[in-house]
Amino acid sequence: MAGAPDEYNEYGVHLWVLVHGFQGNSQDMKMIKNNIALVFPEVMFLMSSANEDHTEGDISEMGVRLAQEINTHINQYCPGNSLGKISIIAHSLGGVISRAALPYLEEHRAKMFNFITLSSPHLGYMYNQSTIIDAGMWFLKTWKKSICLNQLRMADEKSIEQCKLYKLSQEKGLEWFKNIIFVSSYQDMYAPFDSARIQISNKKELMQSKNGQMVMQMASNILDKLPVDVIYRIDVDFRIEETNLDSFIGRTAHI
Amino acid sequence: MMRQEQLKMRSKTLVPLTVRRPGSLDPYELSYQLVYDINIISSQIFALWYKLIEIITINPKFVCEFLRVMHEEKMREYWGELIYRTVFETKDFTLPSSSNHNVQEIHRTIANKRRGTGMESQSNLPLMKSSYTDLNIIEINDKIHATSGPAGQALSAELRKLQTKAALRSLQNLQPIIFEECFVQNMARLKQKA
Repeated sequence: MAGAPDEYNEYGVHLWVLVHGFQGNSQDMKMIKNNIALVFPEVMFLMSSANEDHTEGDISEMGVRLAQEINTHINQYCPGNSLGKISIIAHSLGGVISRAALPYLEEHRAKMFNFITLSSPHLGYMYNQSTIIDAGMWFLKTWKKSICLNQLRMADEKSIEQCKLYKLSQEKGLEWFKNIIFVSSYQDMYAPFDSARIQISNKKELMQSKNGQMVMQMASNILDKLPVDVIYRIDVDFRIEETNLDSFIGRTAHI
Repeated sequence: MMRQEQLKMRSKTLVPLTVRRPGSLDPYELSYQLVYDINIISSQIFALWYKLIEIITINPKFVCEFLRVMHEEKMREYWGELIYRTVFETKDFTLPSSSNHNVQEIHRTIANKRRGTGMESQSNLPLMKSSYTDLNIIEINDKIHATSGPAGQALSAELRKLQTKAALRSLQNLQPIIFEECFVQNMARLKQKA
């Protein structure tokens, strides 16, 4: 089976790809990189910067750019059989971009090891509970012509089956990983709790609407094909003291 | 060698001024005390750094590994208290962990209980609630000096332990609490693999 532990080149280099989120840059992930480097000093890092100026664009295009960046890095720094494992850590939109990049990384499928997303809206923003965030999204979508936010709201096509996020849920890639971890926080209003954890907690409500059923279908599309026996969902509770706009709209926990 | 001796003496003799509550609230005096303390701490760090460089040249690999293991153990012990781990056996990965489908509420309640705060009072609490109540250094010093001899030493050791515990507790209050949920689809197969 692809991705089985015995297929990994244990002596090869372990490449960690760190992917930033919406309107972010590669340095956003520096603290995570430093912490990993402390425990695993021998691993190699790629702090993705290919999408730094394009995070409002199309998710597919960002996925292609990320895949190209990873492939170039591997060709340049891991020649021959020197690559052992690939792990991906992505924050926010970066998680969705990473999933969009996976179909273009099929040649490395046997090397895929950890897939960790931090507050990534895998199921979109359709069922966001915060009206403030909804209003902000609408503003960005309308005035800044943000394509990716439109895609995350699943408003890019008339039919949900044709939406980018729905199509992405049918794409291959996640099943190649050995460890899958979804990190979320219920204090984070930017990425809806269920969307970040790819779970359906209000099944009865969703069953009543067609869109809700499609969201459930998306979650199944992503998780049903996983050959792993275990997945991890991590919820983080922060002690947020300050009462400013960021904490009010739930941005503090997201960042 | 002389430099080392000097540094050793300095680190032994100099005591930060702010271990005592400042006698005056004059900003200039307070600033002076802060600068004085920073200087003392920097000289102590310098002495420590010097020692580390000296020891690292003897056996770098062992020293690095030894310090790393110690650091990791301390971190594991420290962070372990803030991590709640639960294992759920499930047939469908898309379903949440709790039967009442309200995971976030359960986690919120546990987190508030852990921090010893109610939801309504949480926002009113100061950031470091325990700075004077848990770590009243004047009181601790008075108690230490009130008794001398072996009994006094035992008391000071006890107080130091309490002081460290209180400091850790107040620090932990600020740290995030992590709820790790492990969803297992086929427990029997997993046990077989193990």
